[in-house]
Amino acid sequence: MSFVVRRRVASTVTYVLLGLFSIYCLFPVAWMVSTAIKPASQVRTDHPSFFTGQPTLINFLTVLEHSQYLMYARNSLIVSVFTTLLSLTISVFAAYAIVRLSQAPGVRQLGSLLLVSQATPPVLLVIPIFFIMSDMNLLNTYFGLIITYTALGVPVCTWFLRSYLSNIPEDIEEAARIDGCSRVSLVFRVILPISLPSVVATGVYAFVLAWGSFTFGYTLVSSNAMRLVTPALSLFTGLWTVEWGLLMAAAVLNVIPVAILYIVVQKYIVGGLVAGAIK
Amino acid sequence: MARFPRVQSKATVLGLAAALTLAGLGTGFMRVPAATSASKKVVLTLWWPNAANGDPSEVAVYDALQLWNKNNPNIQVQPTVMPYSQIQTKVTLAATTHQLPDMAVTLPGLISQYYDMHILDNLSPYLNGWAGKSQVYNAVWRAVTINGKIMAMPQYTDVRALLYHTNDFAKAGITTPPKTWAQLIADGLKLKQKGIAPYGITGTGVREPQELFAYIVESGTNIANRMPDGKYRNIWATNSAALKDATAVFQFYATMRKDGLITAQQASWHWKNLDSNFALGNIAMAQEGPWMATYSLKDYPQMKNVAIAPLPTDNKPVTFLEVNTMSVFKGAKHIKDIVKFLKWWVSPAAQKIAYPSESVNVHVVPNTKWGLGFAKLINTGRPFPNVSMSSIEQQMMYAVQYVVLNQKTPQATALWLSQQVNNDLQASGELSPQK
Amino acid sequence: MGIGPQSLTRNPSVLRRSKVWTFIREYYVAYVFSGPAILFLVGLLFVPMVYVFYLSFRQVNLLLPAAHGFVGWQNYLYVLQSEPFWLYVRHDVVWTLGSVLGEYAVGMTTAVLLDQKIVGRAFFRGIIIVPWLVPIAVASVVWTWILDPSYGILDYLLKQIGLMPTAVDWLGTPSLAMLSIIFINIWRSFPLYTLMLLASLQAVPKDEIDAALIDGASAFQRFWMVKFPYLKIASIVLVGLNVMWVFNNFSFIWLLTTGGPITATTTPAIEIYQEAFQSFNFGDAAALAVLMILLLFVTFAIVRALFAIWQKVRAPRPIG
Repeated sequence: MSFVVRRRVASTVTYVLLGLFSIYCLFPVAWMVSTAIKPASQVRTDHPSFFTGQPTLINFLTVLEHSQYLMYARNSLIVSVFTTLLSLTISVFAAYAIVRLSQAPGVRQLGSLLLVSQATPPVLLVIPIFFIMSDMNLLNTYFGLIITYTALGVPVCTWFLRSYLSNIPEDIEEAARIDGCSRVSLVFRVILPISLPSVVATGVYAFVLAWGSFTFGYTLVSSNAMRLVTPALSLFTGLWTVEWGLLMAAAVLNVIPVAILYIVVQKYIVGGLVAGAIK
Repeated sequence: MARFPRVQSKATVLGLAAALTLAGLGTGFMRVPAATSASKKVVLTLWWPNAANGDPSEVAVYDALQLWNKNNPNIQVQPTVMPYSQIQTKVTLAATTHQLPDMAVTLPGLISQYYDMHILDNLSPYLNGWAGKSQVYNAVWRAVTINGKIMAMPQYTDVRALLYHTNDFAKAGITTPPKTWAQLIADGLKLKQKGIAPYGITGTGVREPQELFAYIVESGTNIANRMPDGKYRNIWATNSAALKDATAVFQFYATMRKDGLITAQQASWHWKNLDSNFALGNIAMAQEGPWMATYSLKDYPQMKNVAIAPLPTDNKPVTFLEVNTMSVFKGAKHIKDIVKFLKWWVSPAAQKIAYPSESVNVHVVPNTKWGLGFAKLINTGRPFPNVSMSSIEQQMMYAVQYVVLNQKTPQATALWLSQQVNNDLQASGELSPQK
Repeated sequence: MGIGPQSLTRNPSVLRRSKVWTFIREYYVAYVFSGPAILFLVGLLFVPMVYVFYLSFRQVNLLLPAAHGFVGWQNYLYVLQSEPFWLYVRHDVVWTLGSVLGEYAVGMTTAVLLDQKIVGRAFFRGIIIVPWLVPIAVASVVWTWILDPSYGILDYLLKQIGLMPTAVDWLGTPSLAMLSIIFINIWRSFPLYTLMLLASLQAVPKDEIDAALIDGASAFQRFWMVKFPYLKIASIVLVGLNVMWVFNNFSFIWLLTTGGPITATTTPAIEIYQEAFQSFNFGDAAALAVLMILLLFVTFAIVRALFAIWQKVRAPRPIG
């Protein structure tokens, strides 16, 4: 077989495989959207179809009208944004310390501790964290949710950033240090700008974690005013029947903000991870 | 020397940043915007499962609450919606830190557990002298009474019956509903011959143990017997007559499965699956309750052909009596106001709106097949025994799944369940040592 | 031992003091930088872990408040003896291995595909990440709806193309439930593998690949001999982290099957929830959690030891 033919076969196989994987990835999302825009009569049927002749927004309107979905989304947005900012701030400095300042006793071990912390079953973490939040009077507050999700997010964020920072040659910093730059401004002026893509990618991780958290979201919140958007999904599972159209509309609304965020920062994510390849 | 000030500036920058962050978060975020407390306005918190999005039965309960809130501006009841499973998890957590709401809607299996946790307020002092007490069925009061004390306010009651589609029966040439389990199976076979799926059960969700319990009491035994010492025990392993009764129940499931009256798929049916399948006419018969009336209000044409009959039985004409309650938690500050609200909640004014066909109030019996069909069965209803049911209910689900999925024989299932129930009773300190 | 006035005059103390001072001056930046992370790690992860450890030696049954107290190993004995603990551990091993291996396989395949210079690479990369953006709670309801035995699209499509004669209850059949939830878990989690592995692949130096091409290495050889060594560390971290996450996972299984049918998908994490919130026995739940952590640590220790032995055995080969 000539090189050209082999090349063509290889690229055909690549496209076929990528096509199949794309279907695998998109099928559930497409079905979710398709169900959400169908009239009720076409949802429960013996001949389900992806396409509908009468697309409708009625399910979305019902979700927005009958629940304070926008308020839940606002709560989630506040919690997720601040979780992201706090996790990133903490992780950037911690990762920098682990990579550059590990002569200090104990700091190197921090890296391993971050990984060890991931061995705790979150389902039981719910109990002590509920007690802590209750003692500190932080149930039903943004602050309580933010610090909980930050604690959950920091280990992995730090770990991601650590891999990236360890790839930055130390000489880049040397020049700045000779100029009399302090460590803090070093991080802000030198490290952050060159690692921005990785920081953004890590931020998306923290955001997705906080936005999608379910168990903590409903255990630490008891008031409607503080409800988060992912636990709010259970408002639409229905006590007596599952209105799939409604539930899927709520699900679509749940995913939209994350999708928008992803589209906005997409170019950073892949680049950031490429640059931060674990070495 | 030149470095020293920088140390400070670094520390200051960091300190300031931290302080600002905390202060910013603190002032803006630490507190929930609390409902402004006008002169004497009382806000009662309530955790309940009724969402306000569409289902008429849930909206109706909302409407009743709205009516109260409109007429009682000084005693506002503020519900937070969450599914039953979340209410249970959150009450458990809140119980340990005294963060409970004033009230929570509670499933029948949980009252004894909350009683054991010492988190329920005893309502007897407020209700015993109350003139309106007699408007609630005695059977219903009995179901919420533990050791002589009323531990929760009943809000609706769902007694169980056999529901069947008359058109399906007509097609199969069946004229009267089955009276015994054997007749039910014979009728089921006739339906099957006409290509009609005969029967439906649930295999998961809280409905399943309730369904199984109805068959158990019909068979003449109980999931846990109260012993002379006041504690409980499952006696199937030690009493051969009781074992025979229990085995008959599982045999009933096994026969229905073997003869194709029910399918293996139904082992994973939740009440939502059972109810909607019955409402759509996909199955001809099922053990159901008065909540099905709401389906006849919606777009389910097959609900027009539904008739109600007592559950078929080989032994006793009894059934399961579900009493759904509002629990009042200890430490609730405005107990007088709470009781005032709850007394109104069981009055005809509220019940007619919220639970027209499942009312606990003897005066609220709509003149429909739903109202009349179920009301006359209430006195044949038996509630769960007063023991911690959550873990036992889980074992009851496993038991039915074992039989329906052909993984254990009926007798082995009965013996297995007996052992599990006694283990769970022991773990919760409710097991009687007597045999 | 406070620092008394006379101790200041004594030489060793001054020395120690200055040592302390040097230490602080030398390292304070490191501690200031890592301080907040340590604070969160300790305050909200390790303190709770210690608390769980403490609970595991106490009788804490909310139904028996009078009986609370220290009980030694009793909770552990109860969990190990009267619960089908090892059956649930077996389920968890299947669930973890199945998920992580599947995620790794799909992640690696997609990463290799996307590493090629093809038209529309950014487009496919964008699509591949979509499942990871879907919250677990959303993924559960969507998949439950897809797999619904009465109205689900999957059964319908499979029947249409003639692959299946009748509807299959994917989540409700004991022999299929575990496979189904593993499949769903792979769907939700593999994009992270793709991204990380792709990142590492793109960091492989170009000249090494070119050199292999000139040597006439096949595509597989190029991957295995040249690229894979660069993926080793990413692979170890990904697999290691995910083994812990999947092994301890509660929400996904609970939302999809609640551990059923019967106990076909019950893992110790599900059992923890049932002990804590259905039996109200926090002590037993805590003992289960500690056992899970121990199992993970023991597994990692064994894997590390095996790895070390393997490398020792392998090392002499190039010489011989």
